[in-house]
Amino acid sequence: MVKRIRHSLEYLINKSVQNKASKAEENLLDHFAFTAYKNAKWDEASMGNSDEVSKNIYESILLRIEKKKTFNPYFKYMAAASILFLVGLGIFYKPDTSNGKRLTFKTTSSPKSIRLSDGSKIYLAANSSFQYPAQFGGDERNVSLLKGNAFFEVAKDKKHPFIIESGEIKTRVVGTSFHIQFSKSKCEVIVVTGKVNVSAKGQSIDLVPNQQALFVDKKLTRLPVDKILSINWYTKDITLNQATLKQVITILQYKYGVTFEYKNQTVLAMPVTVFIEKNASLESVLKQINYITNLKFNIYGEIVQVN
Amino acid sequence: MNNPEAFEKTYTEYWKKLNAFSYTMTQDKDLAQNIVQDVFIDLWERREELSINAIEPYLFRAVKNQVFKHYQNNRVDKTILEDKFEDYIIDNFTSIDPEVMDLLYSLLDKLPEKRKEVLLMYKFQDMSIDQIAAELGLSKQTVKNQISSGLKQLREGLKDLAWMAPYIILHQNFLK
Repeated sequence: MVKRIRHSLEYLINKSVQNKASKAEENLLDHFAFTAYKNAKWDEASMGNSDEVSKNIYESILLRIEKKKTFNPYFKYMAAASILFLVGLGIFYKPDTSNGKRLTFKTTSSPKSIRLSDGSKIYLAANSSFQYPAQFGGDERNVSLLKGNAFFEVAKDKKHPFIIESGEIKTRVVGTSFHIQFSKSKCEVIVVTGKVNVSAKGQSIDLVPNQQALFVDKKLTRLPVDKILSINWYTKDITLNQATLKQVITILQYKYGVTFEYKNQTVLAMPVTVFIEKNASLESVLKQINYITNLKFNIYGEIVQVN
Repeated sequence: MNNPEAFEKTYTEYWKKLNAFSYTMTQDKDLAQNIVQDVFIDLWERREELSINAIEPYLFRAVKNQVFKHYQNNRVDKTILEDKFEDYIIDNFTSIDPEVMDLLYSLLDKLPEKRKEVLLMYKFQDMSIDQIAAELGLSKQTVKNQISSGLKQLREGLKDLAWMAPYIILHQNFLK
């Protein structure tokens, strides 16, 4: 009689599949498999390029569950416009989390930049907070500016508009770069290049370069913008030549997410020339100004007092 | 899990590890990908009726079951899993449930006395080769040979179900 040699694993798996295995036997199989799972690593040589494989699997999944829309995150980035988005003081806005988990990106005393899954790049000023999904899905790309200032370079994707929520304002862009500053009392959007639609409470405005939308007291208005604000201080060193102190302060407020308090309004008209390096600290810039104007600046958290 | 964004996020978070796992267990690139695909499709289609506390264990178990199913159907090379299983048993000798250990002990019993002693010292008492050599008055090379032969015999034993047979019969009698 020939005895068929059957492996003990086969015996255990058969038992398990027929639900006849004991708890100890099930645990053994489970732990055996789990050990393999824990130690499993991606081997590019035998498994292929992981990004491609991920795409293939996911597309097959979508096809099978009959979803007509597929969002393609592998998307070439093209900066089409810059918008300066200015918002007032700074308030923590409670986001709508019904769309699944979102990630929050916060800065404290220095600005930072972050790249989103579609290739868009966000430069967040100091003392700011931004919320975004790890992976974009659906018809729209939704993000939120919870507090402070940000400069957006949005990857072009006509089929999936990029929408930024900041308080009650929704800024809708297709492919642009722009600044947003969001605060308690107001919200401003400034377009440097490109086109943007800003809407709030039933009002809607389209903006083109050198225009600004101001939302304050529940009203949305369009205004011409001070050219000096149409520059990208996030990624470049800038020289402000004979700018009024007011203009310099405005830029510092955006770049560093602080608010300036001054007793004497007349100083604001003072002309100054300052050089603001992209990575300069607030203290170093204020030192420059102090040297020129003899004004003293005291920094208290997010407030700068001018004496 | 009820909306596309959450589903996509879950996919993004776990797909890679699951695919690495399914490939390790099958050594078949296409099958491994299909398994991951099927598991996620199933997850989506049953999203209403499933209430999952921890998604990762759930997905792991789903892939594991698929792998075992393909093993049973001879869709994969059986020796892949079997070799892995033998390695696992040998490595985890000391932490396996006593009930299942009984079977392994009976296997150990079949080893020549000296070999059994060396193996037990090495695996259960975690003694080093030097310590075992000193304790039993053997050369280091002899100890090494005994360990390697002992493990080999254990592996062979795991392959052959015959050694389980007496236990099964006993067990059935006991149940009657």
